[in-house]
Amino acid sequence: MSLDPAVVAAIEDLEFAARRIVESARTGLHRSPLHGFNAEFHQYRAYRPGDDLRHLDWKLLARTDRLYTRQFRETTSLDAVVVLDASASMDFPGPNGRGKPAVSKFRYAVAIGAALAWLISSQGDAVGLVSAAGSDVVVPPRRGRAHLRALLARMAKLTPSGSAGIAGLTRRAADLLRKRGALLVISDFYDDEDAARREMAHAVRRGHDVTMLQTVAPQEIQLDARGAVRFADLETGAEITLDADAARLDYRAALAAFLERTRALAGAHGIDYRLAQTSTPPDDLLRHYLLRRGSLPMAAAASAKAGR
Amino acid sequence: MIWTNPLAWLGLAAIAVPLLVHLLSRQTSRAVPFPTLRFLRATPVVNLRRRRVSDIPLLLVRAAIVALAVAALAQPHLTISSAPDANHIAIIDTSASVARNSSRLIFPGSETATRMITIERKDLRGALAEAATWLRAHPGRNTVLVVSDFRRGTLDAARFATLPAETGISLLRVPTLTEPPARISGVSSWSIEGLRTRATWGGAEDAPDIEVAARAGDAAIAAAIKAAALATAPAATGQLRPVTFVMPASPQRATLLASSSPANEPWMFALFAAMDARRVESVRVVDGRATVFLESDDPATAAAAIGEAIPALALGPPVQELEPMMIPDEELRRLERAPQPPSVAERPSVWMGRWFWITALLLLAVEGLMRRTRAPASEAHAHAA
Repeated sequence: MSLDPAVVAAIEDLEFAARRIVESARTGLHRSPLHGFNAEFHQYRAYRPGDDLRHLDWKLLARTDRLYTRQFRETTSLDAVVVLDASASMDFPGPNGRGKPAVSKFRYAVAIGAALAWLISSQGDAVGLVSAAGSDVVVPPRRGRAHLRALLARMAKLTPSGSAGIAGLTRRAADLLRKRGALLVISDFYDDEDAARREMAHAVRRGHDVTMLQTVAPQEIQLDARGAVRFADLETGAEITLDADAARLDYRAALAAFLERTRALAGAHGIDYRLAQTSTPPDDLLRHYLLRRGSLPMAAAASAKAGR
Repeated sequence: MIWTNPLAWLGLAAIAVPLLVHLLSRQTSRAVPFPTLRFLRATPVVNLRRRRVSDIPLLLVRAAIVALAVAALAQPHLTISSAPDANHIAIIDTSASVARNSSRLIFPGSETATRMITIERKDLRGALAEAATWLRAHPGRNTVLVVSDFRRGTLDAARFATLPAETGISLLRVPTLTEPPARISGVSSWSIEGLRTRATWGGAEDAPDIEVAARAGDAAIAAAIKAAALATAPAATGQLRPVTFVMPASPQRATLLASSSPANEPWMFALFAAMDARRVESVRVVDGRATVFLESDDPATAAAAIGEAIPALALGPPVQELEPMMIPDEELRRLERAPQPPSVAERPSVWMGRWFWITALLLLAVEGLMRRTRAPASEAHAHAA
């Protein structure tokens, strides 16, 4: 059974929420595709049925006519940084004080980011955090339960405000990784598209495994306001008055085009992209994301590299 | 469907309230926090100022709630049967004066009656009260038939007023029982010689000139008075001096006394003077007629009083009219009336108001749901940070 986004968002204990999401997402998964790919050869052993054929040493087979499986020892694991957009635009929809509480994009992003951090850390990998909520929040990637708790506590204290600057945050995160690592960017990407594209491409060129989780709310996609509405920009405070009924179709088309552009940007640079709607159960999103990563070229390349 | 409070329909004007709310609520725009305005294109302000009703389904639901509430206040009743019951109650006077075969009469309309109930009592007042009680419990197009000889004092309009207003009243007079003449000892010695008319009361051996068929009681006295007065009327003069004799127990006595005035004619004083003060309380004028209020109900006393009065009157014009013994036919016709359909409140019907209220409440819940689900982004997106 999938987790209710509203329930997950309402959990105060972020570590618990993260663990809950990961445990739910792991159902049906045999291994984590986010596992570190910096492994070194350890020893040979006789092939046993069921061993991964990718780890079979074909050259040795040719020479000795015997089957040997190469074994590796992971010396270093993945360094990952969660880039969390804490701009004011993420604080949507706000609580309406009636009925089922609305899950804001920010709360959803925090839940997903915490789950990813918990997953990475539980595998012995290093995880860090880059965000900006008023002032910059930079937590360098480290391993260990204590670090994870500190990171999650820092994440829990974030309050969305100000403008995005997702490009700058991506650059900061890429700089934090001294070697090739993973960047998990969770944002609505309502930012300078050119700058964002530039920084994403730059991170990819530096060898980082970049993931874009574009967070949107259903209310934002639908624009279900009616009649004359004065919209106020959450980030800039600018206002525009319009007839929502008349503007709805144009708005939806423009937003769809933007989402498509973002997806195309990711595809063009080999970035793993996923649209994260706040109505999607977070464990479902994580499960599909992890399953998809298992078939990504980058993951295959990492495995191949580990096998060399 | 019958509406017992149709004035409540004026409340339909309240439908204008949700209409105005829908019209006016769109005139002001609300500030809605939104992630970004980059995809929104402003629409001309003139469109926003145009008065139009938006969200017509919600408006219709609200109008329906008002209409249902108004309809419920109008007290809707669903009549179960279109033809109300037609019950006939026959009250048969079984007093001794009424002919014995009255109860075997076939009453008009009884063949179409839903129910035919017969009350046989000597006491017509009690019978009417009994009928009134039954009729109040069984509303319908009901009729009360009273079969009697309708002696004075047995019934009057006040008694019929106890019946439900829509109940029809039909009065059927039957002949008074003819019995062998009763002898009134008090009058047997009475003789008026001066008028060459002899009224003999009593023994058959006296070969009476006037035989009065009467039974004991004030009615018999009244009959005797009338007979005696007619007997003493001089045929030649033609001048009328009507006199009414009122017994103390007469039901009209109080009314007559209240509406009377002092005697104002010399012959009235002569009449009073000619009578023994022990037998006559007073002589007064009621509707221009001399009215003698007697002191006693005793037939002998009354007869004696009349005996004193007649010679006095014989000196002048004759007595023409006395209090009749029976209720006149004209008075009976005034008491009769046709049955009316029962009022809505008394007709067998089901009050539908509760269903209107229930429907209105259900629609109220629907309206709440619609408001929530259709809540403009302004509310769903309300930014309470």
